[in-house]
Amino acid sequence: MGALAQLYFELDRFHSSQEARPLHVFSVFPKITIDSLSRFAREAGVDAILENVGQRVYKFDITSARKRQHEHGYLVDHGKIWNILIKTVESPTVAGNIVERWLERMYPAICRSYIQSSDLLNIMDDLSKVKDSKLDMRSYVLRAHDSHETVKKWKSNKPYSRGDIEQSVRREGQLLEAINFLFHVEQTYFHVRIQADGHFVFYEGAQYCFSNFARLILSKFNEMTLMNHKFFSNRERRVVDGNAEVSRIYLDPVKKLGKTDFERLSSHLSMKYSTAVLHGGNPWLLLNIIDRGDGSSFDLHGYPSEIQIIPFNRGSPESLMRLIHGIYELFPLAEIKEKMQ
Amino acid sequence: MSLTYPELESVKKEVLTEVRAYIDAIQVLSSLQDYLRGEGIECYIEKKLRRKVGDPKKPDLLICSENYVIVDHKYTESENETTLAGKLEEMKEYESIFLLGDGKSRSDKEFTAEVVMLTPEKSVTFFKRLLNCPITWGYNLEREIVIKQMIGAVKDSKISSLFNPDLLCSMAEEISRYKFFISHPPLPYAACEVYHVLWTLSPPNQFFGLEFEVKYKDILDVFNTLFPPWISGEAKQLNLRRLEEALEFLQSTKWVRWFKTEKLVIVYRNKGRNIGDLLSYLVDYCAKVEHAKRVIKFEKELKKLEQMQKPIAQKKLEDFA
Repeated sequence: MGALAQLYFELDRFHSSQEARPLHVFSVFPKITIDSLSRFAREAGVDAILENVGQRVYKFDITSARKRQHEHGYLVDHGKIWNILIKTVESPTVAGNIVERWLERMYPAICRSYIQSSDLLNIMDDLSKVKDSKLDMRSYVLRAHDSHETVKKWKSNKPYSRGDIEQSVRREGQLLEAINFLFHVEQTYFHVRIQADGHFVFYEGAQYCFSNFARLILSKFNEMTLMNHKFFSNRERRVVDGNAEVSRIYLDPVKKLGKTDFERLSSHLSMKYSTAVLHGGNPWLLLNIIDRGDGSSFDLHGYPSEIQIIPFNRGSPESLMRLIHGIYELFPLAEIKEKMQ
Repeated sequence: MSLTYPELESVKKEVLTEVRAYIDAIQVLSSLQDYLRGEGIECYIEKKLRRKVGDPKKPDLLICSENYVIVDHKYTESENETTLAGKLEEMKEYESIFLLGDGKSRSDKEFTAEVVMLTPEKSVTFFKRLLNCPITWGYNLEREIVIKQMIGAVKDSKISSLFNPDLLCSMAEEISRYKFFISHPPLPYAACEVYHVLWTLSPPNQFFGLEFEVKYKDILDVFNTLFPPWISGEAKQLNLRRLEEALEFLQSTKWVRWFKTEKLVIVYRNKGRNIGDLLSYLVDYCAKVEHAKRVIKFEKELKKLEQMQKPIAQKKLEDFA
């Protein structure tokens, strides 16, 4: 049995037992090699210790920056994507937060992966179509950028409905951050919370629970986010025969944006990025954005019915995905106009 | 001779206005050129326009097609119809027809407008000062052109009536192609753009250091691409000075250190990190520097004035003894 199969087997066994404790799973993009991870972690002011237990599987210990809190688990190297699996020792929320903060410190050496809310619902749609299965919805989570998350309970026994969730998102004008559900198939099930920012909480299940989750959800997510990565790649401004060529990404914010929206957007993005407001008026916003992490730089043009992002000389796909996710936090219904291929 | 103490707020306003006007200028000029090219009309900027007789002159924006449209850089401060008509007459010696003005005075009855370059109303004055290129009108033409407008609206019914079906104006996103244009950019703007360039040149695998180094040559290579290709070689020489000024200015903010002899710039990763709007910070900073200079000048002049006004002590007769 290979190291990965062995790991999944152990997780299947543990999470179908009485001792099961939530497992945090993260899907991330590495810009570094496994060998250099510990060195980069030290440079970032955190720690990471790796021990190879098989071909692509590593035992993984991390230490946070401020309180020096430790968490441990596994790292699975899928090449372009890594999956980080962190066991919960004490509070599940604390463990998740520690890893999130650790990842924030590690940016851009390790970058979070994102999919759109609509893709999150696409995963749910696919699950609902699995033969002899049942989607037992528990709740979904909405969040506005400046407030705590709102947990929307799902009526027990009410079947999954994409339309209902979309309607609620539209009504509340908030970002669909997560969906919490049980998935039953044949004699087994698993209980999981999935998020658009590649953070999953795997609670428990029965036989083959984790393996099924990895096969039906995690791999699907990885596939989607890799597609996004490809879509956002090679978007930098280029000079061809003396002429500058730029590549735009169009976001459709659904509702008409006004001066107040642009002000909110500028101030929201200035928390994470170095920004320069070149034109902050009405009805047009022109914002220069520097991602101090990896040196990506973008122009953002906000019009009443469109937001355009134009990468400058450097615009990494990871940085673009992160920026767009930041915009979704404000304008959750915005969709990328071009079709991802 | 009267002296007025320079107020910081008014200096700030001055600097900010200059920056905003420059941004408007790039937006309008570059987008118009791009748009017209899209329409199959060849456009030139800063190329010599040959006169039928006499020496060549340099327009800011020259657009020509088979039937040509040319937008010239000439303008008149006067709104007097006779002066404008005189200017028009003068223009006839070119192979093109121009009408230049501030959008208020028109004597264009005999022409059908085809191309209009619009700037936001407020920036017209500064546009003139900055680029010697105000709202500029090019005329003649037999077919219609619609310029797509994404910003603002045309309120002047006279102007609107020239266009059928609608007057639409420049596409603002073109500003992302070229960051600089003709004329000298205001220092805070140039510094802000150069600062962006510096970050894009950070070493790709060095994420967490306190600082990073960028070679001056690499900055210059990118910097030169920020000007449209039609900028003349002469103007490119000037770019070097602009870049150096911007680096000196950034060094004075302590965000970077520039080693001129070593041709190396060090960028401090954490400096300026918590500033919400870099451009606005640089505008304020520039205004403070300018204000300090003006205060010194004011004090010198005041002193000179006081000395001039000081009564000369009369000497007594015995002093000469």
